[in-house]
Amino acid sequence: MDLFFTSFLYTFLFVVLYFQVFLILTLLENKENLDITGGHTLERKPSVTIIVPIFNEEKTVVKTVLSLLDLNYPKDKLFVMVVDDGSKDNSWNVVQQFAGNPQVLLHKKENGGKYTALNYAIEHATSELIGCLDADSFVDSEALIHMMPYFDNPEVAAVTPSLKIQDPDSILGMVQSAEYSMGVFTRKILGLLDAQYVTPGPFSIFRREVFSKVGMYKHAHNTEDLEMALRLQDHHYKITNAHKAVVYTVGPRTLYKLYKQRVRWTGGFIQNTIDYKKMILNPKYGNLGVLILPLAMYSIAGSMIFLCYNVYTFASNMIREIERLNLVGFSWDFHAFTLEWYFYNLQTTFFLGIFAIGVVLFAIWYGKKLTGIKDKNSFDFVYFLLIYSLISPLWLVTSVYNTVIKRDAAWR
Amino acid sequence: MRQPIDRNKYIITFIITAIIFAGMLYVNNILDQKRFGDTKAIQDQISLDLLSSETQFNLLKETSCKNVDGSILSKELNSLATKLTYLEANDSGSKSAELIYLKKYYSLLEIKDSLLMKQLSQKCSSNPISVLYFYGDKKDCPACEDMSYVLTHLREQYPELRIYSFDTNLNLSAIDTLKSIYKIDERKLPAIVYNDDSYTGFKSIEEMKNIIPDLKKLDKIQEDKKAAEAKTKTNGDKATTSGGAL
Repeated sequence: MDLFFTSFLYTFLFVVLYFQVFLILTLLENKENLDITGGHTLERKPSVTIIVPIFNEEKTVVKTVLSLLDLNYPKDKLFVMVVDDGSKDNSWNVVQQFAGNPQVLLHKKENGGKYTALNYAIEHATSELIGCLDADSFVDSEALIHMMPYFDNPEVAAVTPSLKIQDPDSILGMVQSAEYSMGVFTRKILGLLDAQYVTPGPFSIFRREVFSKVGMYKHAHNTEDLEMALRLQDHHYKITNAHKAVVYTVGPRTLYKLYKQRVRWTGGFIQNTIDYKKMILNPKYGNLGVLILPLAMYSIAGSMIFLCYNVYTFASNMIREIERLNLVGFSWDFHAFTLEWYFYNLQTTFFLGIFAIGVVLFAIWYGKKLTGIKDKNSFDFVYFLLIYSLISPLWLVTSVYNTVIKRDAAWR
Repeated sequence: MRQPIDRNKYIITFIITAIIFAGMLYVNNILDQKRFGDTKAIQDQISLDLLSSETQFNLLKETSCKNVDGSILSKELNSLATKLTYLEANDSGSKSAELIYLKKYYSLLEIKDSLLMKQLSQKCSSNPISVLYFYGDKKDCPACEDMSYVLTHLREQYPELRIYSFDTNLNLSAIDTLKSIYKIDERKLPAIVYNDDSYTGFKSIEEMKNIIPDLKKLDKIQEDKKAAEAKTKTNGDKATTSGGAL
């Protein structure tokens, strides 16, 4: 390992460790006041419209709408607005079963992309609060009631929920399940730091008036939920997180679909952050500007360098091994399997790696604990640790490549 | 109102991170020291072995060669070589002074071992197979890595073969003396010395066997042994078969 890479590696690990320590300190600082649901008053129940944008979702849309109608919330205050964004399948006919329901409003428009469906609905909605639920997601019946107390604070413009994977029944599902649990933890902490940079498509709730102040959804490199959060931050609005408001989403079931989704997310993050680059290292944007955004960008760049280095090392080792085989033929290398401690790679990087993994495991466990819902997938973290680092470079490389050639990732 | 930046928290985080980081570096340093300590202990053991061998050899001068076999020479050299290779491969940054010291010490032990082996063979007319191998840095000697593969392979194949390898960049006067004795030109590395003859440039397995005919003899012995074993097995099978027929 040359000196340059060693110095880079140590700096990178220091920064990662700094971030992890910062998250844990924030948690310890706020441990007592994480949950504000206890102070909720029943009198204060603002009207809410949940938009369900659909595009060829005939299989899942009914379940999504039913889960919304099942929310524990006064029926005269809760409305579901289904916007068919020019579906080519039977979606529009399927949703007609709700036609007579006073809580459900059905709209159909020409296809223009998800953000146009959202804007269409926002223009037609009259409620105090507006949310969105993708047709591949379902809400826990108590989700909305857990979110309302956060709107008691007039500074709060949006409240994000906790996302969980719906019935993870495959290895890929387990990987995502653990990842989402970690996301629950991270989102909570970022909420406490006023540093959330995404208001997830599934069930983030906004004050309607906010849209008239900051503007409507934009195409935003196919990650309109990320851009909206950054825009709110740009206008110094507060985005907070209701960790007990649980929303279930169906994760991609194949590696290819997961890859496509993550290329869109990662690429969207990079490109939107570049669009809002004025926030980076700008103290006006608090922890988001000074710590979170720079760190997120740094970790993407760092991971790319690691990846290149690992590919280079792997390739040169392979070439050397092939040369060796050419010279001496196959012979078993006994030294590789020696049990002497001497040959174990117990370097600083190893210890720091173990520490980092420990914090990741803690985040997964704490994320599960935060939602207050018993998780059946107690061992999903094993799949996460084994598989995530192998598959994440796939979308990382494509996202960075797309950014360089200025190409937006496709929705599907 | 956005939460203001809490400078103190940033500083405390930095201090905690630095403490954890320094702690990890400290543990790593202790392990490295232990590793070097272990290597040093093996070298001391070899040194003791050599002294013991020399003494034994002196004693034997007055008696016969009957009790002499290779075992009086230190067997630890190969294990030490493996460990030094590991240290060198995992040495972060520039070569540490400690590693260079260990390598010099190892080279001196090798020279002593080879001299003792030579004396032993002369006195007892035994014919040990030993090779001196001179190599250099990758940039000065691109073929040295290939040569090392070949020699490592031969050593695994023929445990009787002793290879004494010398890094010509070590600036060790004893190695310089060896180089001048065998007229090793540093510009023509890698170089092999067998039976006081030196050969430069990369040598394949076959070429090495031509240089060291004893290896071919060992191959022959091995083949004969295998053939004999196969014959015994076939006879045994026949006996079992006929036994079964009865």
